[in-house]
Amino acid sequence: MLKRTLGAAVAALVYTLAPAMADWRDGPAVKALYEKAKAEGVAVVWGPQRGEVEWLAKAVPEAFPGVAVEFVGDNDVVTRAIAEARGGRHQIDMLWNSVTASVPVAQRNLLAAVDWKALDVPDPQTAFNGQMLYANKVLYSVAYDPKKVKAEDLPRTWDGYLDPKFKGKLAASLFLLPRLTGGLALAWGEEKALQFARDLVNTQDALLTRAPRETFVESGERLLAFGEIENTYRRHALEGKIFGVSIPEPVVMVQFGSTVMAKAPHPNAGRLVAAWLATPEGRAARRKHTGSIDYDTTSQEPFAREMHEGKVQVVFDTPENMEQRDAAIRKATPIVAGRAQ
Amino acid sequence: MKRTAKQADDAGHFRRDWLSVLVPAAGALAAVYLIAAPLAMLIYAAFRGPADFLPFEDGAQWTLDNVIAVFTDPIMLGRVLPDTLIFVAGTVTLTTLMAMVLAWIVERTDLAARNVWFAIIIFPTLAPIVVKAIAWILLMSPNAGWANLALRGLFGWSGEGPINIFSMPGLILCQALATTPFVFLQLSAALRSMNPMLEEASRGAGASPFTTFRKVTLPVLLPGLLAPIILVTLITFEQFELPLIVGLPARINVFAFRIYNELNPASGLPNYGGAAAISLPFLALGLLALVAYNYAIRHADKFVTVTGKAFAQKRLPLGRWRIPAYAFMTIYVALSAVLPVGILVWTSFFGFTPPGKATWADATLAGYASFFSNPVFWRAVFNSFLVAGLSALIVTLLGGLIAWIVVRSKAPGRGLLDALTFMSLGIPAVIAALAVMVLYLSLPIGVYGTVWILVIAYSYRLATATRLSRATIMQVHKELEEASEAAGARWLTTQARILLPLLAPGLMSAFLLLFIIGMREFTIPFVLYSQDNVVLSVLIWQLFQGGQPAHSAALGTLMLLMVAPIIFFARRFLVARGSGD
Repeated sequence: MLKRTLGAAVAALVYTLAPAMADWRDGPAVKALYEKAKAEGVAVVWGPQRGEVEWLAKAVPEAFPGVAVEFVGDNDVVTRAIAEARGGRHQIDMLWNSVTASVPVAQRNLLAAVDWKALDVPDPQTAFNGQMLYANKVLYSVAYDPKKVKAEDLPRTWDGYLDPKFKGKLAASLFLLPRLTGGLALAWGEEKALQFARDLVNTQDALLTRAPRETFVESGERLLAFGEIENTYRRHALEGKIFGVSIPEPVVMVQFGSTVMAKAPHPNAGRLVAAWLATPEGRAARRKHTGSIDYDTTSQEPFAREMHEGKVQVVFDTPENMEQRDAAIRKATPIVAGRAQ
Repeated sequence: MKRTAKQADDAGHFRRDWLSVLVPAAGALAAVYLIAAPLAMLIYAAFRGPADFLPFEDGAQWTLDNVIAVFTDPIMLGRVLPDTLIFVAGTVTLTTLMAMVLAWIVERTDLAARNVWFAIIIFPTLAPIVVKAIAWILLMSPNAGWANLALRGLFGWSGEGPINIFSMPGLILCQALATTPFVFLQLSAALRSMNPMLEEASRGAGASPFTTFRKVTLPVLLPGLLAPIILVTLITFEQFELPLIVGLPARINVFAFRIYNELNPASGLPNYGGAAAISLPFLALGLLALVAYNYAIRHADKFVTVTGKAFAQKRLPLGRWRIPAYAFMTIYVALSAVLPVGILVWTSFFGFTPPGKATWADATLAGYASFFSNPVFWRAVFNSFLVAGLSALIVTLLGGLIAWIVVRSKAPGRGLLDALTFMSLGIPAVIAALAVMVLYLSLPIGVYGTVWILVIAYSYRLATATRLSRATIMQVHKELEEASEAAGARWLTTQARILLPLLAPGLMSAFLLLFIIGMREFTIPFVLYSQDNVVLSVLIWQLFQGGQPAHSAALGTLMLLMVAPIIFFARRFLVARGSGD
């Protein structure tokens, strides 16, 4: 299990940049796409949280002068995107989301199929018959104020947080906790995972909110932000807000990726950004701008190596198990929101 | 061929008659469309399935499944409905108590600086509730809320609290603080107009101010209290922001948020039919409350002691009740206005570091500076003023037109038209947003996702403008219009040159009130949110939700600075101070 203070971790990050960038952008297909994207001038990117997509507004123009990014970060981005398309309004070029969350847009046939290999994306990992291009993996974690909590006092496993000493100490997201529960259902089975959610809510008196949990930790209202996306706290570390992060087992890892909308108003800019995110250059830019770690199988990060070598129990969502995860999410959501027992 | 004078006159009369029919008819049709069309689509959608289909979508068919699911859902019956009713009942009770006490102290006693207190009490109406909710969380969170830290430090208590905002009492307190100014306005107007003879007799008999209030003022006013009580019931019933921000952490589920959940499920497709079905019983409850409200305002005047005689308002000396009265006023304005604004401004510079732990070196203007180069900020500012201003203008003009139809014309169906516009008062904002959403998703004319859908959605609040205009028109004798027409003026000329100038103050009042409501609106733009139609209230919430509290607080502060001057200007038109002050 990984426990560390992210300030030091960010300082220790190392990434390569120049050789990969030159390779990918020099390809004739990419150059042609870039010229078309420049003519369009902007890519409109929607993602599930502001922090997931905000960095693109600065990073994309750096990498591709002449291509701006407008973004929307909202928990309800998928349903809004579906509603917009139904209303005859097509203003989204690219959706950035997890593979499970992207299922509804794929079901409504709103996505474009893209030949990623033709765009020189190295070894593209895809879903939905090529409509989604994987680009990043994120982990669920527990964040804390290192001035108030000692890393060694935290449990190694998720269910360790059901210890009575954590009662009234946890803040969790109404959006993320059901999704964590869905991931745990893949490891524990649905019933145990749902009971875990019930216990967190009813016994541990976790504060469930749509407000950012780090604000409750920062203010001291709660000690621990439970079931958080680890990258969030890496971004905060870049801004000088230092949180501790603990990653309990089983490690719940979620695949994120890009989809380009079938009726994108700026299709070329959308494809350019989507493809770039999956390249070594795009990943390096993500690390630079967000502090995030690459947990891909090729990553040299120690914890990534531990996970991929099987030294740590990992739960990973795939197209094969996403229905099972989705079913658990649907059952967990009303439990977490207090609408079901 | 030259026309005779009679033929010319007949032609002019013919044109005048057409305008006097065409313009009101167009206005009536527009009003009916704005209110009835979305509601009709909503009711239709409730009986169409599958639930994630739009009512006219290929494959949609008639079904009772959505409605059956609502009325047999144990969560709806066992959690949502009780939570909603407890929330409403608690808020109405606390609001009425606070508003009554505040209004009586301000209007009936010798409280010093009454005008200042009055302005401070109604000032919070300017701020979007989302801004106040964030401030109240910072103030009253059980562990680290600044009020709790201060109280525990003062009294040496340990543990959490004593105030826990994340509870039903906490939610009720916040909602009551947000709603009290509206009821206060109505009650203070009633008290200002009330003849003090009975109270003077009570004082003359030796009763204390509190005894006079309890045994004389309150019983006299009680029948007239029914209308504002029902109004605050309607306002609370439709609340979305506070249940979203404060209620959900306490796992309180009210119906407004239940509807939103159907549109934005945890996973899967939006459930339009389900959301529409949930709306039906709550729409019916809202309309029932409205019927009661209408009955109350029709009969309230039987009990008021306002007469045609002028009277001098004599104020009760507070005496030994002065300190408790000032304490109550101070605590109220502190919780409702001063502390939320103070926290907002503080957070915009210092983030979450509380006073006492921050130094001046910690202050930063980053929250403010980021906006001026951010196109999203300017888009939100533009959209907010455009939507609030344009919808207020549309509703004001339509309201005036409908009032004329109801009062002056003999048009068939004018009673129904009046009832329809009044009915808009009983439509919760979340249902209005849902109805507009379903309508314009079914009519793919490119309005959805634009700022224009917000203008349309905001424009259902015809009741306010209609009522204000009716009251004014009824004070203008129709002889003036008849004289104008007898002198040869066409209908439109008569309206523009005779009636409109006389209606102007009332119309301006309606416009300003609707503009303020539009600027602080959150539920409708949140439900209908898209990239291009973002408004300030939604952007404030998005910044807070996105982990940028300082930016969120800075934007809230900027919004108050933009809109605050309006209240001083509006007060000249909305509030007429009584004589004797």
